Amino acid sequence: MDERLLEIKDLYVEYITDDAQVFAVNGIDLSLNKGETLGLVGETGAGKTTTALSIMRLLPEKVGLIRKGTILLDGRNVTEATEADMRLLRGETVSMIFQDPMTSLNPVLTVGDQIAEVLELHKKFKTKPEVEARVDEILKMVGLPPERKHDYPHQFSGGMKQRIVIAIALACEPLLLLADEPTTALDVTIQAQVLALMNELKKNLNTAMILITHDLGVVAQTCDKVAIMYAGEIIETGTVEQIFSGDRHHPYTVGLFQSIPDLKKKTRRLHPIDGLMPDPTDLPSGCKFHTRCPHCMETCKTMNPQPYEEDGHMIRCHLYGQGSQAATD
Amino acid sequence: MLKYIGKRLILMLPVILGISFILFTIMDLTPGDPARMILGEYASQEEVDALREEMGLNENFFVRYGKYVADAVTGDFGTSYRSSTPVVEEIAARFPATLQIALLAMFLAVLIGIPVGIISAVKQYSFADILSTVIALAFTSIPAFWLGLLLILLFSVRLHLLPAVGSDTWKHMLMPAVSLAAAQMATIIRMTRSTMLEVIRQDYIRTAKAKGAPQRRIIFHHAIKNALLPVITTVGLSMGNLLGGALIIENVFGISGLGTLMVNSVKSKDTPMLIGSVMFAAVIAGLVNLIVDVLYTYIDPRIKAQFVKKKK
Repeated sequence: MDERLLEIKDLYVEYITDDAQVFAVNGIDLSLNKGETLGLVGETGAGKTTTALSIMRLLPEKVGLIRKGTILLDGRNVTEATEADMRLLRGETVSMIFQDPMTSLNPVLTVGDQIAEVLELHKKFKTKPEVEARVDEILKMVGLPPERKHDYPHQFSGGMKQRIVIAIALACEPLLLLADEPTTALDVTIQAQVLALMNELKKNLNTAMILITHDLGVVAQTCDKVAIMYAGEIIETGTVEQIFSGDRHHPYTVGLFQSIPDLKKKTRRLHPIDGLMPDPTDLPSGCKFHTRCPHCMETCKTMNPQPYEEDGHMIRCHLYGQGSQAATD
Repeated sequence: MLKYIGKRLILMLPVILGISFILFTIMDLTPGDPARMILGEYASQEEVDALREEMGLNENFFVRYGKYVADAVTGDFGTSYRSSTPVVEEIAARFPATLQIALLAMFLAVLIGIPVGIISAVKQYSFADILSTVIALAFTSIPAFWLGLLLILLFSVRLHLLPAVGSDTWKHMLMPAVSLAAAQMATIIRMTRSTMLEVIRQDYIRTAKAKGAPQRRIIFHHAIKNALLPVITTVGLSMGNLLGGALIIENVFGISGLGTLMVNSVKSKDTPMLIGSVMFAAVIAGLVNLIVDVLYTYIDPRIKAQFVKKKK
């Protein structure tokens, strides 16, 4: 269980367009053991999807660029792998569930063909009937009647389409599943179903998962570990318990939790974090959060904080570790 | 499906009726007396009047149109004023040459246009892409008749490789078809390129990549079907252009096809011949578009779902 599956070290990713250089991911470290689930939390534009796409090496061609760092996936360095090597990894070792099930399926191919394709590409079975049998099995696994494999995506509802996308992702029983906001495009009643389904399948197949979301409730339900991203950096990681309870947190994490409306308390207003995420083409100096931080000190404006660690609970903030004395006054 | 095709065929009737009515009116309103044209400049006024009476030209406009339609319904499209042969026979004699050129042009345009468009999209901003863009721009800008003349100059006058006029062998067809195909090919290249570029940025292409599918499979299995839908529409619509464009090209290459027939009919005020040939061209264009729409259903299941009941 404790075997290391994914190890991201000092990863920098940029998008280079004609008008600007976007610093999407700025030096993140991340690790994941086999069978573990990591919740990757953060606002839109924090670099969550970019991180996942980097692991798949599916960043937009010519625009997205891994500037620095290594990604070790099951012992292989993804950043240096050839395209042919990556093709072998994708779908078999690592697969991804995309955000919008409505557009993730090819409208002119039957769903059965689309599931069978990943099996055929990775030569999981020798004969056509074997592949078909596996397709039936997977469809049953995600709760769809196998006879519907001859239908086209437009004949399914959103929730059913996401089940099909999940079926494609899990068909080859990958070691790592990247789920990029798998429930965001679905309505709430279906969200619960899909999450429960993913949890169950993950357990049965012992797949590790990175769940990208901005929904802390979902994280609490499904994850073992949590990493909180802000402006392309991981500013706090820890186990679910460490993040959801305990009293030492990054001010951004505190803000995130405060912005969840509490049904038990009577409040007139919501408590958002003031300000907006910094422009990724023009990041502030020092700590990226200092422009919005209620505890901002002089050092925050000039020096990027070093990670402070306590029992695997990492916080990147000047309030902790060195210089923490100044903060406690 | 058959029901849908039947419906579409019935819908073509009002179009044909409209075309015949408009042409009939225009021919009637323009100056010139068909009887005079038939008999020639030196015939006496009495002879002309007698012929007018015989041809029924003195009757009310609506009566004449009514008669024409009534005859047409029974399959009699009248006889040519000029050559006194039945219109149907004349069209049957002239159409094959036009059709051959149009089909050959279409074939060339599709066969070259689609692959070039795909390469252009897949290797965006490469040398091949820029080259194809320049060629496409040139081909849309060059008028077909001028290209035809240039081709004659080069291949007939200088190189003596191809015959300049006539429509007897496939060698005769080659230059007219190329001149006609150039503009269509340019449209198809640009169209294929832009739809392909759009499709390869779609989420489902990323899904296919995430499965580990190689580039070739992504293009031919996932992208092409989606990208070709709008291209097929263009090809269908261009069939009308090809038949119309044949009009000029046939004159350049001295081919006696449907195009020259139409032009000569207008010149000699040969009303039945003109209406007959234009209607024929309209029916062909309509049928091609119908075929295109039916083809659609084989490519895109979403369209098929609109008019086919499930077979379960």
